Amino acid sequence: MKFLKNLFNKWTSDRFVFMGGPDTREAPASVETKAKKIVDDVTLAAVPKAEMFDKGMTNIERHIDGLAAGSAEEDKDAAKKFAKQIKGKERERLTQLRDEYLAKVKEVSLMKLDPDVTEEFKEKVTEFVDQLKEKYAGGTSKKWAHELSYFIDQGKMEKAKDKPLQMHKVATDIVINYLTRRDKIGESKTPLNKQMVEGLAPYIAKQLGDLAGFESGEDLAAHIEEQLTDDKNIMKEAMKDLAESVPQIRATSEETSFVRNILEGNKEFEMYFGEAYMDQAVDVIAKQLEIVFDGKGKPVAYVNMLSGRSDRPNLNHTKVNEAGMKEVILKYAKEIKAKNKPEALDEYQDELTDREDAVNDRISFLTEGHYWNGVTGEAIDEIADLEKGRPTELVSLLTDTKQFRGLNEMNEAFKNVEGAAELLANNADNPAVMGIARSAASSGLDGSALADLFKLISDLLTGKLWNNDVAKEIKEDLDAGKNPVEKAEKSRMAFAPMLIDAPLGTLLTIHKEPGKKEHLTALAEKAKVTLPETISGIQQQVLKDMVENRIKGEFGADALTFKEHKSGDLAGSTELVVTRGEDKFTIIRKPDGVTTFQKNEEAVETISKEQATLAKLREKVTGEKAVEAVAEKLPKNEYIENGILKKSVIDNVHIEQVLKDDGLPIETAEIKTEKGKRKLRAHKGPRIKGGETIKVERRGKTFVMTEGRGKNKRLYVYPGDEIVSINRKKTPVVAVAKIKKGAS
Amino acid sequence: MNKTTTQITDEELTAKLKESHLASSEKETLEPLIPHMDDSEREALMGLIEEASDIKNKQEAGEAKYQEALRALNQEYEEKMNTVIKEEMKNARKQFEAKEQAEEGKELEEIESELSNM
Repeated sequence: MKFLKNLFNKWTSDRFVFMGGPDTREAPASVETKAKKIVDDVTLAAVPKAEMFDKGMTNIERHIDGLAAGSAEEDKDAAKKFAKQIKGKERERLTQLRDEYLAKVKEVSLMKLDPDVTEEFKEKVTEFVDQLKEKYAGGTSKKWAHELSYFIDQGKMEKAKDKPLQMHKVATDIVINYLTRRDKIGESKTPLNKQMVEGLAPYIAKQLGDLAGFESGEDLAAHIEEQLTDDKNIMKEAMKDLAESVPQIRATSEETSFVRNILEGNKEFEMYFGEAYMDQAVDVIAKQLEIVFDGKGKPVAYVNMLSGRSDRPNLNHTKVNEAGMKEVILKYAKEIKAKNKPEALDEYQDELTDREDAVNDRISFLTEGHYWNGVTGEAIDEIADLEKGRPTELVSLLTDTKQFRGLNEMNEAFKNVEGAAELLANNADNPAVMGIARSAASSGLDGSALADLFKLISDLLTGKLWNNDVAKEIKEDLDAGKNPVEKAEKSRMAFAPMLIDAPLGTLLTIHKEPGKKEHLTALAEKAKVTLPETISGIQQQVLKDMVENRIKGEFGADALTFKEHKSGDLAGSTELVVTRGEDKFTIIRKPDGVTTFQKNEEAVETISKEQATLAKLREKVTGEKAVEAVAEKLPKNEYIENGILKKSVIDNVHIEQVLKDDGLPIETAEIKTEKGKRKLRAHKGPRIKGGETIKVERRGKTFVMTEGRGKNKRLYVYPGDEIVSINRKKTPVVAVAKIKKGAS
Repeated sequence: MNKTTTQITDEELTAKLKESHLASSEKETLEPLIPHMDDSEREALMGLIEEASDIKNKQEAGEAKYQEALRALNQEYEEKMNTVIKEEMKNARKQFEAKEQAEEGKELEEIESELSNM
């Protein structure tokens, strides 16, 4: 019976710990300390002790098991039976005691305040707050507008109420005020740049629309947009008309005969130029002086085309009468005489030719629509004034090339941030987005990095590229003062070249297990890419998304679904379902690499592992060859650089792809449009940017290429494709273009 | 309508709101709205602030009473439980000893029996 004695000792020691109270038995010091702590804890906490009873019950079970376990094999059953027997009564008594205790606890808990009272109060407060929010801010996302309301000038608002354009400006002023004086309302200043502020104006206008009771915020924003578009179109036409009336370096017959009469009627110059140089002198002066006649042969104004700098001629008109005009003509004739003919005449002729180029450049700049790519309050005001008949400003605009350039650059930057602002406006209820945006704004990123960042956020929201984990990483970077754009782009660019020619099987494997480096090693070697030591979470996501986009891009797909077959005939196979409009393509890749391709449930073909590239699969179904498929047929020395297609001519469709210095394709192909006026260039000039899209019509279905970077955003163009529009979000279609047939 | 409440300034009402027992998120939302509120809304807010304070006081008083009663209850039942466990412990010990004695008696008898058979 020694086992019983030992067990009994152990049991009562443990029991002592549990009990916490004094016992006649002598307990080991450590146990005693432990027991005391438990007692103290329990007393101090003064909480219901129901769980102590539960512990008592558990302890009973434990000791019954322990009793059996500690006994010799032949005694185990007897020991357990014995233990259960003697513990049964204790269990019963403890249960009784616990029930009694719990009933009393319930009784005393009524002394506490009824939780319903606090709940009812909470509901009451919530209702009150919601009502006020609805009344003063129009919704839960309008807190910002409330803050802004501190800076609203009601008078200005009232005046601007029916003039959306002015409303836009008032909103901008308010935002600037708000951001520079924000510390007054207890928030730190947000160092946004002016462009960002201007970009936020439409968003603020929405909020202000609510505050001012100006229809709904959405309606107001739409109204402003519509108004801006109308204004722009009117002004665009006006600008074209005015551009046509820009003084030209050319002489009309009226000008020529007027100048000739003056010079030939003057003995000094008739003698000086003589028959040999008179015609040339008349031509030069008639070109130099743009004379405005009153319709009756009398001059009323003139412009000296040779005044001002060669790249910025002063095209201001000077009012003049007939006598004054004669004086001016003779004055310039004297200047030529002072410099000696015929060199002087040649010199003037050359100078006029240069000026003609400069003027033509300006006219072209206006009429090609570059100026209309963006909108700024400043530009609109200037042009609006011109349209109301204030030609001085127009002349100033026309002559100030530098100003134009500045405006254009500003417009470009503005467009990006404007897109971002819209994004923010549409997601004002998303705390993650607003958090990221706020962090970004206070991180000191410049306009370009901000624009990139907002693009990333946009991708995140639309599920194109990022997931919440990536958003977290971006936010962490921002909080740490780092620029997350670079990190994200690096991840993307490192993988981009690897996926261009990757076989389908590899793409599927990468999609399934993006972090497995062995899948990537051979591809990386082929693409001459150095892989990172470890593939981070962000890179894994990038890679996975890139594979999807690659496949989507090749098929022009709307959606993809991956499925792994675990059992049945197809065990171990990967199934990829691609939907494109009404069509459904099913690609089943077996473990041996053999790939079956179905279109709308009907088998198209089974092809070998080697044949199963995306481009080939597409070709099997559509019979269309991708640009890359025929690239090999082109003379390498002319069209292929570093193994990447640079230019190709297929069925008389002219397509150029522009490569960046590092050999990677840029975000868009250069497409020459029908009129040759609208080019989408990689390195300069207007190109696909925030909110722009290019729509391509293919067999009646429209595919859309949005802005983006890297290979995965490229839209392939096939013979027969027709580019139906180049569309900007903020403006209606600015060009309707077809791929130029037969271009070389 | 109480004149005192309607004449309260924005600053005073903001201060009251900040000191109130309303949830911090509600305070944040309500604070910028104060300048826009009309008299009835301001009065309603004052009422809510007072009610929050009243509820808080009742809550604290009720909690104190409950804790006191609970402490007494815990003490009473801890003692009762210890008594039960001690009694059961004694009982178990007695049973073990009785069983041990019986076992030893048997062994002794067996030994004596074996010795007598020798």
